[in-house]
Amino acid sequence: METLKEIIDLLCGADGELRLIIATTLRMSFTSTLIATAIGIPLGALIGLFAFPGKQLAVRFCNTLMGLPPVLAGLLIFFLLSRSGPLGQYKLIYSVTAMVLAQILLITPIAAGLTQSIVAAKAPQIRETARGIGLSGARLLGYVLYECRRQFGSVLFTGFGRAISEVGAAQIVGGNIQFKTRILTTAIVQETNMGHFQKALALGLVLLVISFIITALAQFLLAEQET
Amino acid sequence: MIKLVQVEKYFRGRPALSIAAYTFERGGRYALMGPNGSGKSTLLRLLAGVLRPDAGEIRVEGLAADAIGYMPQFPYIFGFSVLKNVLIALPAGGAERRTARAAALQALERLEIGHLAARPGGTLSGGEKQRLALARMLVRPRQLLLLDEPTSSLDRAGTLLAEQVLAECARQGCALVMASHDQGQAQRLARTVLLFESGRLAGEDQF
Repeated sequence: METLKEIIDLLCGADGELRLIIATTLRMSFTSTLIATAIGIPLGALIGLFAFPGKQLAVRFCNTLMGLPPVLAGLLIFFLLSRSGPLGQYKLIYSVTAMVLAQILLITPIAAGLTQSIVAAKAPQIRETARGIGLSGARLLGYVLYECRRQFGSVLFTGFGRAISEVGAAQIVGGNIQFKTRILTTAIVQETNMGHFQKALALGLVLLVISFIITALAQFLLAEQET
Repeated sequence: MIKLVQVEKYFRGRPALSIAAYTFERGGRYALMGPNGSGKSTLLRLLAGVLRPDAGEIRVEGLAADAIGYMPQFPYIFGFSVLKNVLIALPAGGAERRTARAAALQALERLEIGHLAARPGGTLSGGEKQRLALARMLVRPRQLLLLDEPTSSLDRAGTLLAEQVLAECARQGCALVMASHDQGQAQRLARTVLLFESGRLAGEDQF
C-alpha cells in the first residue's frame, strides 16, 4: 500500500518529474529500438539468407556482440562523443541522443543475431525454391522479410525490453541529469543509492507496468494483423 | 545441353554422387530412378545450381539461367496469395508487368487451381501446393525442367493432369529431367531412364 501511495504521489507530483522520466524513458526506448531493428533485421536477414565468404565469422561476431556488456557499449559511445572524442564537436554527450546511440549499439546485434537464426531456419528451402523460379537478390530478401514478419515481432519485443531495462550505458553517456536525461532505470539506481528504497521500488513497479502494457499492446496488434 | 564431367559431390565427407561423364541432350526426356539416397535429388540440385560439385565440371551450353526451371521435392510456398506466389516468378517491373497477372492466372488454370488464386498459400493442401509449385515454375517459358518427384503429393487425377501438362511442355521442345519412384510415370513421360545406386549411375534404359 505504501508503494502504491508513493507511485500515486510521484505521478501526481507538482513538478511532474516522474512524468518527464517516463516520457524520456519511452522516447529513448522506442527511438533506439526502431533504429536498431531497422538496421539489425535486414542485416540479420542478409547473413541468414545468403552464402558468402566469411559468413560463419559474421554469425560468430554477431552472436558475440549480442552479449556486449552495456557498460562497455556506454564507454565506447562516451569515448566517441566526449569533448576530446572524434564526435565531440557535436556536443551530444549527456543527452538523450547519446543514450539512444548507446542503446542502438546494444540492440542492433541482438536484432541481427535473432533475425539471422529466424531466417537461417527457413533459408535452405526458400533459397532452393527461389533458385528454381529465378527469384534472387533484393526481391528475394524482401519476400523473406515478409515471410518472417511474425517472428520479427519477438525481435522488436526483445530489443525494446533491452532498451527499457538497461541502466549501465544510459548512466555513462546520459549522466542521469534531472529533467534532462534521467530515465526510470537510472532513477531507480539513484534512489537506491540514496537509501530511498520505497521510492526505488515504486519506480521499479512503474517500469514493470509500462513494459507490460507496451508488450501486451504490441502483441494484441500483431495478433489482430494475423487474423 | 548439359555436360557432366567427373562430377563428384560429398556431404560431410561421405560421397553422395559420382558421375564420370554424362550429357543431357536438348529436348531430351529423362527419368532418374533409384532407391532413396541414391543421388537423384543431389543430381537435380547440382543441375539447378543449388549445389556446386566438389570435383569435376557441369557445363551448361546454350541455356540462359531463366530458361531452367527447377521444382524441389518440398517447394516453399509463401504465405501470401496463390496468385502472388506465381507472380513472384515473373519479372517485377517494366512492360511485362501488365501481362504478368494474366500469365499467372493462365498458369493456375492450366493446373486447375485458378479458383484458389486469392487463397493464402499457407492454407493449401499438400497436393494443391504441388500444383501451385508446378504452375509457378511453368509461368515462364522454359527450355529445361528439373523436377524432383513432382507428383508425390498428388492424387491420381492430379498426377495425370500434371503429367499431361509436362508432356505438353516436352512436345514443345522443353527438356525434362525428373526424379521419380513411379515406373509407370517414367514410361509415360521419359524416353531415357537413368538408374541410380549408392550415388552412382548404375544403368541407362531407352523407351
